[in-house]
Amino acid sequence: MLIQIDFASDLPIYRQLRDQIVIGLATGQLEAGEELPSVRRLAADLGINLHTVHKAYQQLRDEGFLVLDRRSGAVMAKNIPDQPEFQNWLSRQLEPLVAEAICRKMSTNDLQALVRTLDQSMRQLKKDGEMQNE
Amino acid sequence: MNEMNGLFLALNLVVLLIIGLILVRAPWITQRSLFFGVRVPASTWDHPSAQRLRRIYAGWTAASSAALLFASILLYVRQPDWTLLAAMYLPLLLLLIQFLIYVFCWRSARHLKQTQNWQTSATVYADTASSRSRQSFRDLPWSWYLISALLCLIAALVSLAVYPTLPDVLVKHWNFAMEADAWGEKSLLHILIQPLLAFVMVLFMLAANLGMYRSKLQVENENPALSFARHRLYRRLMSHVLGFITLVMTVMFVAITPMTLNLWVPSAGTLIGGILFFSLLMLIPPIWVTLKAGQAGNRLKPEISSEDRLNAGILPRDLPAAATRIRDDRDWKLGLFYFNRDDPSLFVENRFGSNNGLNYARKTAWLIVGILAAVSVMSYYVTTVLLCRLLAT
Repeated sequence: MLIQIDFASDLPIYRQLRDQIVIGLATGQLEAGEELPSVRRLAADLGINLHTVHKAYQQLRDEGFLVLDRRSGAVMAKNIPDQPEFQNWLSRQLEPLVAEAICRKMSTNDLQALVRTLDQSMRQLKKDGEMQNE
Repeated sequence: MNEMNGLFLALNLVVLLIIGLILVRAPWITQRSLFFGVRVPASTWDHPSAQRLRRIYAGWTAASSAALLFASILLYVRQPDWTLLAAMYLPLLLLLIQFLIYVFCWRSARHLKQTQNWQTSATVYADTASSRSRQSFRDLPWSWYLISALLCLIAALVSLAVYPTLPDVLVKHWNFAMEADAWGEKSLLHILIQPLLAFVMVLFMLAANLGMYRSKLQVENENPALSFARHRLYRRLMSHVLGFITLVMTVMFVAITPMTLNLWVPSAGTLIGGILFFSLLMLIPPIWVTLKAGQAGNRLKPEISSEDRLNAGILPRDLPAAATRIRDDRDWKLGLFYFNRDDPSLFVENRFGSNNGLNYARKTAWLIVGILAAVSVMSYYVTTVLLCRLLAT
């Protein structure tokens, strides 16, 4: 998978990196059990600080997406643990975004369509990848 | 000494020609989005100002190469004793002149980027598949190195086998005319040093090849998938070139073994001819690949696998940066020297031409520069002093 980091973005780099890996997993471009580059190697490829990559990897480990091990390095988790409070957390994250959409006069249909499109294209990507592998 | 001057002149002319050719071609070898060390959109390649600047660079570089070629011939006619000194220093002078021309072009390129508002994206890419820790070991063309190591082993075993039958005193040195001029008692070290040195050289080349796989890439922002595919193909090509050079060098070392064993002493002509032949054999593939494939293979047309095309996400992220001077350009001093404290890379692909450079924000880089500088200054100093003494007598 190609990881992209945008230096001009408002999002901090570790956050972009973390998001990219989660998106990679959702779209099937990273598979469960797949080995990721070492912290040092990824930092060198992207030209960013070691600590930035380390921070992203640690967050992914805390969230259960990544297994960090001294010997085998960073490996995508085999199964992602259920987080009972995830829906709660998600609605809190969405709250300001939905609020802004309402302020900017976006219709309920458009908002729903947007989420649906994102969701379906990611699932479609994953399905395409699985078909190709077979 | 005098009969060698013609050879030194020929050597000087060949070296100047090759360096001149590569320097003149450098802007065309470099990928389209790197314009004299400044990152620009690839579409600016055909811009009249860009074409003009490249022509100015090539014209001045070609003119200085021609002037130096002419100067070395003139020097050979007027002062033939100075030919070897000229062969040592004129290539350096050419590199210095080219550096000055380049700096002028780099300044113009930076100015053009600002005035023409050539915006580039501030996105960087990493390929998770190719930077897995064990990947570079798998990609090495092992057969070249294994065959070379095997040749060293065979040479060492043959030397050991014939050792008891050798006379007690062996010739250790020959003069220019291949007449023996130094002798010494035979020892295991003396007959094994050649294969041993060759083996160390093979290890060194293997490390260099591995280093190439570890060095940081210049990824083209506009089509990263194609850029990664090209890098992969280019590295494979260059690895085979390095492997080939290793094998030729090993054969050279091993071919001298019968000489150290005093079993066979070639004539001076055969020896010089052999060295020239092998050197040319080693030079042709890297020059050919450099000119044909371009920097990091940007002239190659590899097949892009479906895996290359995979980007994370479904939304385009590749937007031009609002700021005209993004950090990417800021980290490249003069467009030549990479200095980025955050980046743990040590070796990086250069932005101009097709060499590798260093991240000068790392202390190790300065250690390497120090060692290289010390070795080259010392060897130049010693040879120059020796030559001046020879000329004075």
